Amino acid sequence: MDILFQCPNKVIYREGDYAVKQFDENYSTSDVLNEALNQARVEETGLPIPKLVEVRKNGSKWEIVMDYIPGKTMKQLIEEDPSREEELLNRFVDIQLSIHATAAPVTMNKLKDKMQRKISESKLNATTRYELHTRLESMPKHKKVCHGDLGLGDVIITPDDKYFIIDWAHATQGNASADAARTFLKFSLTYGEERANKYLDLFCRKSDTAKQYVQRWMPIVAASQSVKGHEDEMEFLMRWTDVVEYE
Amino acid sequence: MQSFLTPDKLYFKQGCLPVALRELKDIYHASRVLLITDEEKHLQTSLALVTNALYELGIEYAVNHENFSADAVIGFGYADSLERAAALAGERYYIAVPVSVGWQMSAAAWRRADMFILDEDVCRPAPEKDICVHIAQTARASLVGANPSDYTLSLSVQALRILFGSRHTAASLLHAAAMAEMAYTAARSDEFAADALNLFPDAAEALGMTAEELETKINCAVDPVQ
Amino acid sequence: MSKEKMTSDAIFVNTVDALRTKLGQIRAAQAKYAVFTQEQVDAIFKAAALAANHARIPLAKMAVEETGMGIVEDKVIKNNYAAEHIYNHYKNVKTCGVIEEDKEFGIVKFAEPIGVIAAVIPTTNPTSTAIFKCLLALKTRNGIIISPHPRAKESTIAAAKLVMEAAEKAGAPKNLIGWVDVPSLELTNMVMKESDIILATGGPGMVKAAYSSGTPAIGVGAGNASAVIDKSADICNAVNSIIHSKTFDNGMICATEQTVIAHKDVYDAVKAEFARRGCYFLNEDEKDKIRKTMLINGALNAKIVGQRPVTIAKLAGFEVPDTTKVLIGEVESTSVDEAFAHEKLTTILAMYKAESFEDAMDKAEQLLNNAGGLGHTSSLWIDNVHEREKLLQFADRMKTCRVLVNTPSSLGGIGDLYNFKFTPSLTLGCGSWGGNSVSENVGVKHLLNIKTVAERRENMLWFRTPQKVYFKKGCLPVALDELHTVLGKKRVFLVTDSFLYKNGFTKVITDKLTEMGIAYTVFSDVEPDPTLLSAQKGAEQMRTFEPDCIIALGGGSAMDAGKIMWVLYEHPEADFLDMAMRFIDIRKRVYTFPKMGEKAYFIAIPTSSGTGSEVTPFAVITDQETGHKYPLADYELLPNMAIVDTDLMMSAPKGLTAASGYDAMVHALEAYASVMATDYTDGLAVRAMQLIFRYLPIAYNDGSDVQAREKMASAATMAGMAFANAFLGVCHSMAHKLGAYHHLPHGVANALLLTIVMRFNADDKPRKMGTFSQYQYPHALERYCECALACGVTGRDDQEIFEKFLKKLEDLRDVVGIRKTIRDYGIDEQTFLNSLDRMSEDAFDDQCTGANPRYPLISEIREMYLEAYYGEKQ
Repeated sequence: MDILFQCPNKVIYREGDYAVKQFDENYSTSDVLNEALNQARVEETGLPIPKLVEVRKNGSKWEIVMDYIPGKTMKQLIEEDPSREEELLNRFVDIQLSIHATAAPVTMNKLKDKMQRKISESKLNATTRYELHTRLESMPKHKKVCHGDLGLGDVIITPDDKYFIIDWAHATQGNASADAARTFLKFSLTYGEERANKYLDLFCRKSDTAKQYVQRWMPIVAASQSVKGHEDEMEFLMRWTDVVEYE
Repeated sequence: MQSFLTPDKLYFKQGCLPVALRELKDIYHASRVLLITDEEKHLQTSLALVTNALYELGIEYAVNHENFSADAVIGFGYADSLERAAALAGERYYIAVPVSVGWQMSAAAWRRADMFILDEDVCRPAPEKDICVHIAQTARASLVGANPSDYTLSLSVQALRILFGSRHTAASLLHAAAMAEMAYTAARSDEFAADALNLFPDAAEALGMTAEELETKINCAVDPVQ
Repeated sequence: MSKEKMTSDAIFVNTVDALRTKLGQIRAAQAKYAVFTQEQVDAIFKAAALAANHARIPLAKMAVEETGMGIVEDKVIKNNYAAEHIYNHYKNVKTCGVIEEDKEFGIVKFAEPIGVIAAVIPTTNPTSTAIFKCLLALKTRNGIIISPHPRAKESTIAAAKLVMEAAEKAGAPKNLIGWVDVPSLELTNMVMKESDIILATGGPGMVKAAYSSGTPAIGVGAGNASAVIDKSADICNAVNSIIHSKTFDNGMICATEQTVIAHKDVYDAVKAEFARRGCYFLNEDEKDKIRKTMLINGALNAKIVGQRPVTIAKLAGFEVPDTTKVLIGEVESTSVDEAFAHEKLTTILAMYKAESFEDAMDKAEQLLNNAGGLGHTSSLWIDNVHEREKLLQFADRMKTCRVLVNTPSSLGGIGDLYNFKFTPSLTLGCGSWGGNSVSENVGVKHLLNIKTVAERRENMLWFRTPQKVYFKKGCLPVALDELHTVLGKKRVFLVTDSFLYKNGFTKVITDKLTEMGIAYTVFSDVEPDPTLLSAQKGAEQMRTFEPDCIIALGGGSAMDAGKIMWVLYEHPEADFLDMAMRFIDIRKRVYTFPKMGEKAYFIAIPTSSGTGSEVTPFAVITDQETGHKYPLADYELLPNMAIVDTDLMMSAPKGLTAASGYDAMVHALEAYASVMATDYTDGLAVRAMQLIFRYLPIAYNDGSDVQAREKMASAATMAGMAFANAFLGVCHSMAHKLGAYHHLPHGVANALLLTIVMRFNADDKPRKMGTFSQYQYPHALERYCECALACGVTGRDDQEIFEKFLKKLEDLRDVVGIRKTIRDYGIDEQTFLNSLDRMSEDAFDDQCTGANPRYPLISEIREMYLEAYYGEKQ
């Protein structure tokens, strides 16, 4: 198998012109089909993403087949040449903004609902969950396409300098600031404070958003992330969620 | 020459007292008022209407203290206190507030008052038989004298019209008495007129009756037993 | 509370169904409570307050233990405040039944409960806020359902339970107070939706949820108070008060100081005093550590709320002495990125240096705008005796609903402790600046429905006339005697028109004045429709001459012009247009006419019989530029004296005699029919009518008949007195416009319209009735018949009497040479028709229309004009 990417319950391998995302046996059917559906919905918006080809069962494992995109992820490019950080971060933010500028199909899952579910599922104590639920409830409902987990590794630059965005499993329609908060969290966990802040400053400047708006989402996306249960992240996430509203 | 002299302001209607007194503050900018009143206990409740109003307006007042240096004087009570207040007022603004109409008239008050207040909350007309007598007598008396005129006649005749009419209410009799008194006071003012005048026939004509008929009707009102 | 302690009918509220049942219980209880008397309610209120106060220590301990925030002793004080101060403030306040009565004006106010209050309780003041809101509910006969914060639910519920039990013991219905045992977003939302009003104390998310729920809500806002220390402040007092305020319950009251802005001249002294009293100034490194600890992604770290400095420092990674009272970070930026600029809810203060008082205010403003706290509280330390201007400046600039001067802001903001007129409350509204619907400290008045009962009350009525009216042939010089002998006047300004002046009418007056040694000057440029310009000219002359008496001699124009000049002379500052504003009830007019007579005594002498202007409070002036007529009306314009000398009327030509005589008739009739007629005006009006019927034809045919002239003069003045108090009606409105558009003399215009208007008014089923509280039902026909009878008209019934009366009036018109229709006066048909719409509108809008017994529609006025033009109904 020509493995492109591997993580605990997924494998992505190349099959000719296609990339195949294979899920573990214990992955629920509905989750797999949900991801495929999400991807199909985003595809219909016209955003540059790998086209969905097929959903199939390979033995006991579900597989989603899509176009293979040649090229390198931004993450790889930055690692290869750290001096390109500014250029790539700028392009990254532009791409994210273009996603936000896309109107979501009506049927797409709602970000707020998803976040409420995640907070309920999290292992945070009742008090914190209450605070977060209340905070989330008061957030405005928007309808922008949100990737839901956008990182440097989700943008592929092809040899002829076109870009494609991958991994739409978590896509929803909602608040752009929430999406930015999610990316900020990802950057904080993956790369550390400095790059995360660079990203945030760029995002806020280019989208003319006040930083506080994005900050308001941070405890919420942290709570949502905590549901994944990655032990090494827990302390960091707990810190992020243990905040109070001014009274 | 003849004159028709009346108070500058006559305010009337139930509950008008506190409203009228506001002018002390709003227009006359009085800050101290002398209240002249009868000592009678039963007046204390209605006197409170006056003192409360003054208090609300932030006006200082003294009751029956003649040496109190005041900007204005209020006479509150029967004819005596109204007369006393009129005399004490001097050049100051004088408000007359009778507590009863239809008995003894206070000519001095009518002559001197700058403001006359007839508030049925405070001013009780005399019992009907008494007030009718008063109206009849006063109206008749107002038709003769040094200074009766069409002006005074119009008031006396209107008073008689009310008196002779079928719709007596306490309020209408009160005003009839007031009009008769106002007419009388003006008619008796003798500063300028020379000879006595008698407008009785004119009044009779104005009422659409002969002088004899009017005489009879007035006598009837004065002494109903006849 | 443990479940075992609950009685069998107590419900544990942790699900939607349980909450629904609980709400039902509360509603039922409130329905019973809603009819309790003030006495019963006050007894319950007192018992509950006492019980809460009694339990202040255990409740305080519970709150600190459960939340891990604050100081027991300070929470004890808060509980005590919530119970004792609230009780004392409201114990004598009426909240049940009749709470206010104004017998004079016929107003009664009733207080009724709203229903069920949803109270959201914060973690920072759980027991005190619970007590506060429960007590308010009890005092206002409302039920209350409490939504505690999960972090403080046990202590919140304990406080509520305590108050409930005490209330029940004192006679309140069971289950008036309830709470949610296991708070969740779902249950909180339900509480909000199902209640009748929400008292939402909490963060912006909570407050927003409250306002979005669809239930009326009273929310609060976040605080971020700056304590500005001016160089004139008492430093010792200021610093120690701030420390006292800030350390109270470890800084958890929302009104508490978050920053200190000290003037540079006293900065060092302030700093020294803070340090001396146990505050710790952070170095750069420590400041950064605190910044990172205090805010996480711009949000306040829960772990530092309500903590002592020693705990906070440890969290941040450094050490301070255990006795440290407050951590102070000296900073410069007021931007949102500066963590120290935010509300801290703990024992941390930011300190800024201000270059000047202006700069201090700028900083305070920026903090509110950038870092939150708009609408809440700001504080100023200043010499409030000598620096009042700065104090007022500060108060003017700060967009906060509480501005505390020389007061610790946490304890001062909640009211009643440092200023007894400040409503004690634990719910502090921030107005629209803070996104709230209230801008004050919340109290009982916000939890009541006030019912106002307004009874029909008739206005005060009046009868006002000049105090002196002198009359009879030749009385003029005799009357003028008074000027010298009684009134002591020295300088007279005489206003008249050029015709009268040139024809020697003023000679009588001027001779007499000279005889008495009184100086005088004459203004004789009055035009037929006196203009503002000429009045201003006259006033200008007056200001130069400085008369102490004004005599206006002439017809309506001269007397009106004189009155206007009088106003302008006595009150050059008065705004003309304001004075001319249309009034509905002259007593309630918007503009208060300036007091007249302070400079000059006003004498009016008519030369026609007449307009009655010598005894009226009216004057009409024309704006020469636009042609607009401005009617002025105020009893201050009433002349002090009127002199009606028949000698001046003797030479009036026939046309004038007829027109002015008929005008007087219309005055009398309209005053009688007016919605504002009284017995006094009726008497005068009727007599005037009688005299006019008898003597006008004689005066017209033989102008030399002294008696006729004298009677006409009296009639006109008496009619004037009548309408001066009862006002006129639509006949005059229409006559005014007819005169303005087609130049018919006023009296003639009235004559042409009178009987048409009378028929219109006499309709027993008018479309609209005149509006004035004395006018109880339409009865114009009856009234006209009273006049008719007094004028010698007889008949079988009102209809016949009325028709005969109209005929009598029309006959009078014929007798004095007034024609029958507008057309008869040569007014061109097309011209008339072209003007009709505008003229009708203008007539409708005329000042006099309001007193008409029947309020006319513009279309009805139009019809009347047409009838007057053609002589028959169209």
